[in-house]
Amino acid sequence: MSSISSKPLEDTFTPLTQAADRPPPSQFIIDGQAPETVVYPASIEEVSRLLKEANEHGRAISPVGHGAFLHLGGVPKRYEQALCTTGLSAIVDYQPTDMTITVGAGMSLAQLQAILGENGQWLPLDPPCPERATVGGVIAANLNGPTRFSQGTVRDFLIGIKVVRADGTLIKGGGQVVKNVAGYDLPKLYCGSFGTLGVIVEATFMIRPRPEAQTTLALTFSSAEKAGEAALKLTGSDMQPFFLELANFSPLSFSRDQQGDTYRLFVGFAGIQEEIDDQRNHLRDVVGDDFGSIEELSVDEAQTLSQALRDFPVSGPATLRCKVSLQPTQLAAFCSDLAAEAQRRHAPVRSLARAGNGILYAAFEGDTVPDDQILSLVDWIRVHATGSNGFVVVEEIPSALKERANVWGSVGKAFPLMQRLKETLDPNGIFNPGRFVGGI
Amino acid sequence: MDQTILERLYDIVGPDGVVAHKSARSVYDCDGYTLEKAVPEIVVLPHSTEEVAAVVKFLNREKIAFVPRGAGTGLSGGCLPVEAPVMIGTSRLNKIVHIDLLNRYVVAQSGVVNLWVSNAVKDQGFQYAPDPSSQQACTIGGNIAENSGGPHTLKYGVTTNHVLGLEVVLPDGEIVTLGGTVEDVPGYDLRGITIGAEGTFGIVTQAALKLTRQPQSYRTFLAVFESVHHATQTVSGIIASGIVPAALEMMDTLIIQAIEEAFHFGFPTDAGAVLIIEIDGLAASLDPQTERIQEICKQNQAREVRIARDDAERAALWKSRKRAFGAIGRLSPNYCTQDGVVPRTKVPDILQRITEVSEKYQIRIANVFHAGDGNIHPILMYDERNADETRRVVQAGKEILNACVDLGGSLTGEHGIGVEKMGQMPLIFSPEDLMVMTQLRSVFNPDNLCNPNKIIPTPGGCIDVTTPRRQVPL
Repeated sequence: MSSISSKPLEDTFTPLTQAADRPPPSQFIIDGQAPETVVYPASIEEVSRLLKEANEHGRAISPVGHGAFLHLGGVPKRYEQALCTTGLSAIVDYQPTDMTITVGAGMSLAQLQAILGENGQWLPLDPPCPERATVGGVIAANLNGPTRFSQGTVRDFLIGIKVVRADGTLIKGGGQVVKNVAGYDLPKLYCGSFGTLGVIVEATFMIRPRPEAQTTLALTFSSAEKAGEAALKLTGSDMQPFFLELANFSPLSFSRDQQGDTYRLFVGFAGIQEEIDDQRNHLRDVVGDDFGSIEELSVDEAQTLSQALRDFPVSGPATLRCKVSLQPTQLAAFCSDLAAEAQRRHAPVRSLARAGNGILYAAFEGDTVPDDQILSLVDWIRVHATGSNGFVVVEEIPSALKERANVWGSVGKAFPLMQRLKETLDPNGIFNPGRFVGGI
Repeated sequence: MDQTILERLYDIVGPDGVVAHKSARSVYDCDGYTLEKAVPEIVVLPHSTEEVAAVVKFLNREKIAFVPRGAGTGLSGGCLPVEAPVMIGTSRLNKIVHIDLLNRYVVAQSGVVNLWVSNAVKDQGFQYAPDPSSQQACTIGGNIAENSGGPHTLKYGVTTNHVLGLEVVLPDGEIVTLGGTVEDVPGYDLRGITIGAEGTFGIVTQAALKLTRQPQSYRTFLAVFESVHHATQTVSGIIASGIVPAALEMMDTLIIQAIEEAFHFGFPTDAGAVLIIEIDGLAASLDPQTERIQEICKQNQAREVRIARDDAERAALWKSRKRAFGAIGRLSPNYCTQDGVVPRTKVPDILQRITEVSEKYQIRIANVFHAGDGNIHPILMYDERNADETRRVVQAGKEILNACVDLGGSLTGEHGIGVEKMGQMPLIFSPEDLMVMTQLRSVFNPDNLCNPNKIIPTPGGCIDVTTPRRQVPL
């Protein structure tokens, strides 16, 4: 295996990225607001200089990549400049045998995976739209996908980070080694920080070998409860599913559902062939026989399915999308109740749950739903989830309703700490003002 | 200590919650890092989160500094009271509050011993994955403070990968929940930044911990090599092959000889190095991996690859690894260890540098370490009665850590900065990096009353170490 080590970003200073690499400003409209300017820094120094200047003028900045996830979060209080990081996309250091890689934050996840794939490796994250999700965006928005069940989320792989603070100062946390407890764990702080604490410019990940083989089985059930029970039997067994997804719809047009079956459980297995075969052969022993059908997907079908599952949180038109955090045992009843409630309101819902993680994505279709109906649906979801100590984040909703819907929900007694943290790291409030929890 | 303060603390925690007598307090004068000692003026042992909060609230009002303490097994002086008169021990917060096997988590108070968690769920086939070597004594609260690892870090990750939520008494006495019992709690990941903060952000009183299924099966190998070079090549080969072992540990000649001399396990004393390799998972996956591992060992000229035949043999092999430090006692009256980390491929380089340092300072150095993670534990042997040798050991230790940093590594992989390595922080962090850490601490701990004088060196106050570090097992 060879090692690639390009020059550090600092040495490749050029004033701006090439025009061809620049996503157009129209990509960066947030809740109907277009930025006054878009800047495309091509080096860390340039990010520093731009931020220093913005900070001095109190100019509101949104760090962006390809603008694929700008529907997330609250309405910007102010939005003067989009700082596009796609010019920071170098491989800073890649040591395949160390199983670590350092890249510029503007690199797309697809590009990163392609580089790692040459050595049979990957960063075990499968968020939606990998071509348009940048490394920085994956970190800042804590993006992930079905394999989080077996692999984890970005916080489990980010071992080092470089960030430019509001005043233009470059700071780093963590390092380039897989085991490190020197100093505070800064990488964790930026995971899910939604671009409100600084501009992430570089990231170091620990990476993993790509599974040699993979297979997907689809099971159908007559109720959410039966599907949920099967999922719990799996997570409580010796089986090690790669992913475990529970859906109330059929993501595959070619799906051959049994009559009357409304819920599907998609079980992925990955690794070496022997362990896949072993698990496939024992699946029935574990989940019992309370299902309608069981089917192993072809390679093409599995590929199509995994993309559909991965992209579900952002795909297709929706009036309202929510992400609900629950305990895995609460998922099935929640799905069932939600489907019944949606039917009662004539607002058809598609729900997809990361069944082993307790994460549910719900998407409501139909663009003729009146505003008060949408808000009352959000209320219903929130009341039901928080009654079970869960959380609800409204991921997509008409901009005009965002404030009333309180998209992030309440974060409780830790909020004053979060406010102090924000004031400390961004005293002039230039980063994404108004878009994060509690209006941070 | 002022009598009115004592009385107020008695009021909060009751007479059995206060350790005031000098002789009783003296056992709290250090943790596993024994070079520096300081006796706290008073030790309080609260019985509940509310008592911790009341104590802290009172101390905050009086502006009296305090230091949290778990079992005192830390290795960098993290709970040494440095200008902090009050010690708050978590030993009475020792209950497992809730076990939820279906949702795969446990809620435990912070004084619960690490191993108790796994013991509580082992009959049902679950475990709490982080397994520091001190797991029979160390507490969950201490593990969270240090972000502890364990031999199985390589596959399973460290403490932070297994904590869902924390209940924390902040340094002003407020009780907050960071994270929760579900995933993706909105807001900043304050749980993530609190884990590994070495007790400087508040006192963790309770935690929701993820449970992991016990592996269906294990396989443990002992591979014998003529040279350290061949052993490290094997480590790289295994990692590169796509296998993620549960553990991958190396021992060099000196430590093999020490173990053999002490315990007569039958290790080849003429071997250059041995590797302990463990894989786990589904039984069906182990045979093919076993073949590959044997092949990689053979390609790198392994003299012999033994496989533990049963649980007893596996236990014996691990015991030999864990007793390695005890065996050093036969070779040398004193020793100290380092906890540096290098990128995995730099293990041969750091071992070469260690050999050079050993020759330069005429200090014998044995190596037993987590090769799979690049986390080294060189053991520097000396006799403290020999002042010159003692001084050389300190210099040699510093030079090894500097070499780790030169090779792109870090000062500490699992033991923490504490008071021990504070002075070396500027080797890896810029003044700007240290400034942001200071600011983060101020967010949680504005008056720096909670575990002061740890982790971040005060400007200009670089500690000059002239005596060697601890000599406790790892």
